[in-house]
Amino acid sequence: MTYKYLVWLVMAALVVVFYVWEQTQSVRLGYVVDTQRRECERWEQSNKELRVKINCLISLDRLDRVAKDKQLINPPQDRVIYLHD
Amino acid sequence: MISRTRVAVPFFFIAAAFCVIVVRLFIVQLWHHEEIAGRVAVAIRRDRPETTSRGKILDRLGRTLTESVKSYVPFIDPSKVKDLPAVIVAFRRFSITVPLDIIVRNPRSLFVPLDGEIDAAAMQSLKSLELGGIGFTESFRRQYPEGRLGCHVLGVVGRDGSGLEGVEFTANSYLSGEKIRLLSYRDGRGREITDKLVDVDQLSGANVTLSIDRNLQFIAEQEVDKAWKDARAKNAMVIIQDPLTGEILALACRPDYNPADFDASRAALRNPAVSDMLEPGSTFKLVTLSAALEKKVVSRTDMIWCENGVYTVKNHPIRDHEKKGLISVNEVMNVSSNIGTAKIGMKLGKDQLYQYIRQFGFTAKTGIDLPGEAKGILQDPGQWSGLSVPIISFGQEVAVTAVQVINAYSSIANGGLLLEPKVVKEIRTVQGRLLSNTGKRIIRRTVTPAVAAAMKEMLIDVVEKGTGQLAKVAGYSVGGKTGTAQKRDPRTNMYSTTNYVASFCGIIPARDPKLTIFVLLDEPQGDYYAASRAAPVFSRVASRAVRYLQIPPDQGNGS
Repeated sequence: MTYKYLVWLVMAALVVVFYVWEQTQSVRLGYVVDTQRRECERWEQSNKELRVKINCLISLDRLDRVAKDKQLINPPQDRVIYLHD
Repeated sequence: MISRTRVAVPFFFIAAAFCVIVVRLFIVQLWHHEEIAGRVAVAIRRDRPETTSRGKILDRLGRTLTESVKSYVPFIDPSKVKDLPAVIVAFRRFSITVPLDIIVRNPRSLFVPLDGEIDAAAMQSLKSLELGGIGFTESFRRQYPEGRLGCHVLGVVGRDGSGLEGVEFTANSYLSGEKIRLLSYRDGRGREITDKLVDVDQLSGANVTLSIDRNLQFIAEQEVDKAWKDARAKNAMVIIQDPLTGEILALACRPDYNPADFDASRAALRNPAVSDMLEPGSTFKLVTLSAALEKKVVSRTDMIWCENGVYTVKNHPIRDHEKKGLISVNEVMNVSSNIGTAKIGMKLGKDQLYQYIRQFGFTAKTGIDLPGEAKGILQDPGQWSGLSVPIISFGQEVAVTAVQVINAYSSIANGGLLLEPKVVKEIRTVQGRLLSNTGKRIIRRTVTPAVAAAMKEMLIDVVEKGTGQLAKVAGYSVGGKTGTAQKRDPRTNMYSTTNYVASFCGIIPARDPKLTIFVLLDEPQGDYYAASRAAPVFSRVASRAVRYLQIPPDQGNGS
């Protein structure tokens, strides 16, 4: 009889331990997901900043300024070939 | 054999301990549930407003004109700073000054914001120093990769992230991201787990695509800048419109400003193309002549006596720049005769002149999607003096905006349809869903296609033989009209003899118009004639624009 109680007690304890373990894993996974999300956000942000930098570097105004600094002159209109995206 | 008593005693104590725990749990979880749950929530829950990114503004080919990137505003918690000199040195690397006086005055303060913004890389590098007592608040900063390009169209964004001018203002409700609240929980170590996974980027503002073409805008900016500086004018502008759709392809004004730092140039924020009104002068003759042809008051070959240069109406002398005698209606336009146009206007009559001025969209807002548009000024015909009809006929006693003028010329270019000018082409969510698409919108018919065609021929003659000869573009038919208008002197309320507005509005290729271009120089110094100031600017802008757009030449001598 007592042995039977002990078996039930152990089984109940196992269920409780499993529940606690599962909850702990869930919380741990939550931390991992959040960390990854932040990391992802950071990379996306960094990507966005780099794209802005590229746009700034190839902006027409900047190219014009650089050309002037290098003392380049405007070609005659009939020598200009317009490149289309 | 195990004694029952030896088993029962520990079993009893374990059961009693369980009972105590159960009772305690009952008290904590049920009896004082609300009170304790409230205290826990305060301790671990973080419910904060999250700012989502403002949408991008793109040119008609999807090139970014402005977008928001995350920036970080640093702050110091003096109570946690371990090494203040090291903190000062660290921030100095990013040109941020630590306000020592505030820290000394408030040593117990937990939050001392620093004046400056840094990007993510700088924030990471500061964090990696592990100086302690340094924190960052997130915000978004508007970036303008093209600098000042198209500043009067783009507008500006205030410190609170809402649009104050330009498209930033008119499309603010689309550009602003959703205001959301993010709920998260903190553990004992201060680590956070968000309650629900929300992709903030998916909630950012919609992207606005403009009708502006970045390259055309650049051409307009370069040429208007050169003309503005050469003429030492007070203001200058170049507008390029597609006459078939009403879309504004470029709008450049001087003086301009840096939209990323506009505090120093607040006066330049106003968009003169839509907000400033001025007397148009001879460019307005298009309205009088169109109305006269439409109403068959005159034909192009009818002869008008131009009084050899001076014509007196109600004791007011009307003068022509070139003294002419008997000339045709066509020539009236070519030589820009005020006397000839005044006589045609008088033949047309007060009511019909007024009707056509309204028909061409003057005295009403064009409906352009830019803020601060003026309607223009024209008195009710009941209040007109005996002199009003003749002088309004050649563009005095009427105030118009630059956008109204270019729109009226575009209606002649497209065969007589007045279209609503637009700078916003479409608005899409970040996911690409179409929210708004501004298609071509016809306001009304101004003149019949036959009259529009006749007017186009007259405009071509102005450039071929008349005052607009410096507007020619090799290989292309060009039509247009010059306008040299005297400005009113606010002190004397008389027409000034020193301050003028030189303008030119033209279409290219005139026989199959693809572009309408308006050039205006307000108070050019020295040479103030539109024929020599504004027409050459048109020629330069038009020749670059047609080559860029690969519009084929329609005349034999094109290269």
